[in-house]
Order: sequence, then structure tokens, then C-alpha cells
Amino acid sequence: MFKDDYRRDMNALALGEQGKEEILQAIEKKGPVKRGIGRAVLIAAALCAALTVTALAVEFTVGWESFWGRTPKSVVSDVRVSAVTGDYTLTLQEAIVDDDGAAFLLALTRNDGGVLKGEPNLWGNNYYASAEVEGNFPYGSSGRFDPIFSEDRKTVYYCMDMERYGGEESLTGKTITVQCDGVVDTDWSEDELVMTRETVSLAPLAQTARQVDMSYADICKGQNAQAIMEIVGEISAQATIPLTRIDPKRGQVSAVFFSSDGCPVVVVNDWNSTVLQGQYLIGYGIATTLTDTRTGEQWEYKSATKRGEPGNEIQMSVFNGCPLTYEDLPYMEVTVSYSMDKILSDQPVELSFVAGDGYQTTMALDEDIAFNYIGDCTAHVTGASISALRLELTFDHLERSGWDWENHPQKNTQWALVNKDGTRVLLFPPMIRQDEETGTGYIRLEGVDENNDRRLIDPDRVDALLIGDIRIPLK
Amino acid sequence: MDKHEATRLVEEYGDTVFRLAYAKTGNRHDAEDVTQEVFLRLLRKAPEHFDSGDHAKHWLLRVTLQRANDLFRARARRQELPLEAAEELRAPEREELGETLAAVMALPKELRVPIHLYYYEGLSIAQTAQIMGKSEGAVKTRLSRARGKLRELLMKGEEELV
Repeated sequence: MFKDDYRRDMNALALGEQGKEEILQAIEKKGPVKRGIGRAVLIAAALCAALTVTALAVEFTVGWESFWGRTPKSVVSDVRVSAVTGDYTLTLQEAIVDDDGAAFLLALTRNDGGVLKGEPNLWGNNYYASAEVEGNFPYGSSGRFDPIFSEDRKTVYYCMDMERYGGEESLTGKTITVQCDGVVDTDWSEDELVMTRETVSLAPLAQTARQVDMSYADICKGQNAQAIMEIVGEISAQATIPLTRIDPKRGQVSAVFFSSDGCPVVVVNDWNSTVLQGQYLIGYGIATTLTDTRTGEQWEYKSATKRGEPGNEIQMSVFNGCPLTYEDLPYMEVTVSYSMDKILSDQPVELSFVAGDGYQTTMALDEDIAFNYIGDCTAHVTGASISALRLELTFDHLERSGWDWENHPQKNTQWALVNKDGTRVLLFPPMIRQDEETGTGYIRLEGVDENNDRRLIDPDRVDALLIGDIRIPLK
Repeated sequence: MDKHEATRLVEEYGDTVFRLAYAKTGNRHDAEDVTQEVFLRLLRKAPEHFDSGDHAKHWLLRVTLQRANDLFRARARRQELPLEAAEELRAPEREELGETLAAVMALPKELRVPIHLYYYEGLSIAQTAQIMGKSEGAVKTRLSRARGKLRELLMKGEEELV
């Protein structure tokens, strides 16, 4: 099983005695222990040198380079669509589009032009930003990158991308809509994490809890949802346990009952991100842990099920494997986990534009290639497409001799694009998709830096592809 | 927090923090840097007492991701390098990784963290989302994307990764 294999491999990695000793020394002196000239310092020094040489020769686009390195303007589509959300203005500044996906640069400013306070973000625990194509979501997959503030902290930039895996139509001519729920502050909760996990005694429910005439399996069946709602209604009418310092009236442990085969079930009313009081939004309440206060023994929930209709929903956590009965309730505690956002604006916005052709070059190829990526591969490449976001090679035949994990990654072939001026852009990882019936497919690679962080490709500068020692002209 | 309690937490959670930092940064040196910073922050900013071991662990996991993000942010302004220069900057030592861990480390870093929290730490989607400061939808999306890529890398079936 993947989980067991991953745990085994990860367990082989440890801090080590020296690393632990350095931390203990740091704690003792309450300051960092000097650890010699680190790799980060070396990288910084080398990058400064490189920047000195190249900075005058390249035109930069504000924003993108902070996320993905040098960004030639030719690959960027100017969008400039704005919308007001509360005290803020969100602007979809620019997009980079190709046939297989897109990336977006968004900027958030205060309407009054002032300095941003806290860490305004489009993504929180309950708030989310996403992109749709012609009203459909998701489009393959999407990702985002940590926001970056301008030096004067009057603008914060967000970068997100989306990619199709194949099957979907090209983005060209499609209406793309970036939408977000509002703005949250992600810098408020670190010292108040306790508020997202509350532990309360179940003693107040000892008199109302009861065993129901349904097994664990029956409780989880959708056909019994109405019966479960009625049971919870009867129990919660007698007593509930208030939760959350933010909104104790709405956050509650509503009921505890036991299945006929002995599983404890703890019910929390489900906030479903709808409780907005003052500045705070809480959601996704779920009972996660039962504790026997006499022994300290704990049980994690095994499954959680939502029941009821909007406005009257519950979240039911089942603790199968926990041997405690309702007689133990006076000594039991439940930990409820919920997520909370500090809301800066609760006004959703949508920003739409029509994607153009995208900036990419395509060419026919007739090349047999060989490379190693966790094993030896050979392929017949029939075409290439180069955009700022990726290089895609199409093939009509690919064979892999097997998986060679022992020599990975030492034997992996180095892929790179060679620019006309001789500089190179590293490429990683080769993601391969092949149609099992036809044998055709594609190898997709993204530009990366020495840390495998995403970098953009300049299609106008590319001269050739290097696959190990093999050079393939890309004209 | 006093030094004795912080020292105890280093013993108990030092490797937990280091492994998440490794999953995020992809190399031992950065992971050790992040681990040291996390425990210094624990000394300065943590609550006097945690409610439980889980609370302490979740606090440490969350701060680990924040410190690792700071490390990346500090390096964000990068420019293109000649390949030779980039190769000189590669980590001098390579960790001997098992094949499954190597496959995970081949993923983009934004996909490695949810994989680690979900499969190694055994957290639920909701807990993973809380630690990462993301929505559950975002975590599900990333796990789905990571599983897709791992299936390719490891040639595993759907049921073996879900």
C-alpha cells in the first residue's frame, strides 16, 4: 500500500543527533545556532551575481517575476478587469494562456489606496478562489502560489494556474472566469489556533444519550437519514453543549447516541460556512476525538456524515472501535474541530475575459528519443508545442523497459531548453500520458529552477531541446 | 514557554517537524533550518501550555509550513541562470530515499505537503486543511492531482492510493 510504503520511507529520514543537538543549543541560548555557510546563502550569492549581468538586458513585467522568475511581456495577455469587494479592489491584471491551461496574476489593493494590514488573502479556511471555463469547473487541475506583497505593502499579488489533463477542448476563444468568495485575513490565527479545536465534557449529555435500534452500518445509510434527524432532534431538544467563543448559540454538540452494535456517535450541528457574526466566519465543524478522562485513552473518528437540509444540517462522527458506553459519558470529552476565518470582505466577485490564441509555437518533429526517468524509455516524437507554461512533446509510440527506483534520481536524464543566447532552462518533471489503445500520448515538462521551483519559458528565445546529450533543434 | 517544556517537545516532535519540513523543502539542509526556527518560535510565541499532545503537534505542523513558506518567499526573486551555474548550486549531498518517498519528492511542493499530512500524519481532510490554512476543497484538489501524478510514477491502481 502506498501509505505504508511512504511511511516506511519517511521513517528512515530523521533529524539526527547533530541536528537535534543544534536545536537544543538554540533553545538554550534563545537564538539561532550558526550552522556554517548554508546552501541558501550560496544560492543567494550566486543569484546576485547573475542578476548583475542580466538585469539591464531584460524587460520585466511587474508581479510575475516574483512568482516565476523572468517573464517576457510577449507571453502575457493584458486583461485589466477589476471589481470592488468591500474595502478592496481585486484586479485580474494579466493572464498567460496556452492550449492546455492558463495562469493568472491578480492584484488586491485598498479602495482608498492605503497600506494593506494583516495578510489579506483570497484563500482561507472557508473562502476560496477558482477559475471556470465557460461555466465549467474544474478544468483538469489548478494550483496557486503564496501571495507576494509589493514593497510598500499597498498591493498584494496572487498567482494561480490551471491545467487540463487531456480530453477537454482548447482554451482558445473560451470565456474564463476567475471567481472568489471574498477576502480573508490569514495572519490572525496562529496564536489562537486553540479556537479551532475545542474540547468539552460530554457529561451534560449523559442523561439524554441513548442507544438506538440501528447498527453502525444502518446509521450511515442514506435511507435512514430522516430517522437519524428525528433522533437527533429529540435528543438535542433536551440538552446541547455550546461551542465556540465566537458564536456559542450556533456552535453546539447536539447529541450523543450509540448504535445497536456499540459505536458511539457524536453529532455537531453543521455550520457549513454560513455563520457570519461580526468579522468571523466559522465552518466545517466536526467531532474528531473522544477522550476517556480516567485513562487518557483517545479514539479518533472513523467516518463523518452530513445529514439534513440546508439550514438544518448536522455532522455525524462515528467512533467505531471505541468501547465506551453511555454510562461512561460523564468521564468522556469530545474534541471538536472547526475552521474559522477573519473576514475582511464577504462580497464575492467574478472577473471574466475571453482567452485569445495564447502565445505558443508548435512544430512537427520526426525524432526517436531515449531517456531515463525512473527507468529507460524510448519514444517516437511527432511534434512539439512550446509555451511559457510548458513544453509538450507528442508521440505516436513510447516504450518503457521497467521501473528502476534504485538508481533514481541519479540516472534520470537531464532535460533542458537551450536559448538562442546559449542560456538554458531546466525542465522537470516529465509527466507522461499515453492512450492505452492507440499508444499515442504526450510528454509534458515545465520550466524549473535549481530547486525545482516553477519558471517560465520564453518561446521566442528557444533554439533547441536537450535530452541528456542529444540536441534536437526546435525551429 | 519555558526551556524544559520546549526541550521535551523537541524530543517528542523533532522528527515530526523535520519530516514535514523535508516534504515541503525537499532537502535536509533547509529542513534542518526550518526545524530550528520552528522550535525557536515555540519558545517565543507558543501558548504557555498546550491543551493536549494533538494541540502541540498541530501548532508545530502549522508553524513548520509558515517557516518553510518564509524560506521560499525569501528566495522568490530569482533570475535565470546558465545551466553550469545552476548545477554548481545543487545540493552537495543527495539523500538516499526509498522509491515511494522519491516519487513523492518528484511532485511539485504544493502537492507534497497534503500528501504528507494526509498519508504520513494520518490527518483528515479537514485537519489537513486547517494545518495548511487552505479550504477543504483546495486540499481535495491537491490530493487528487497528487494521486494522479503518483499513479503515473508508481504505476499504482486507484484503490492503492485512495
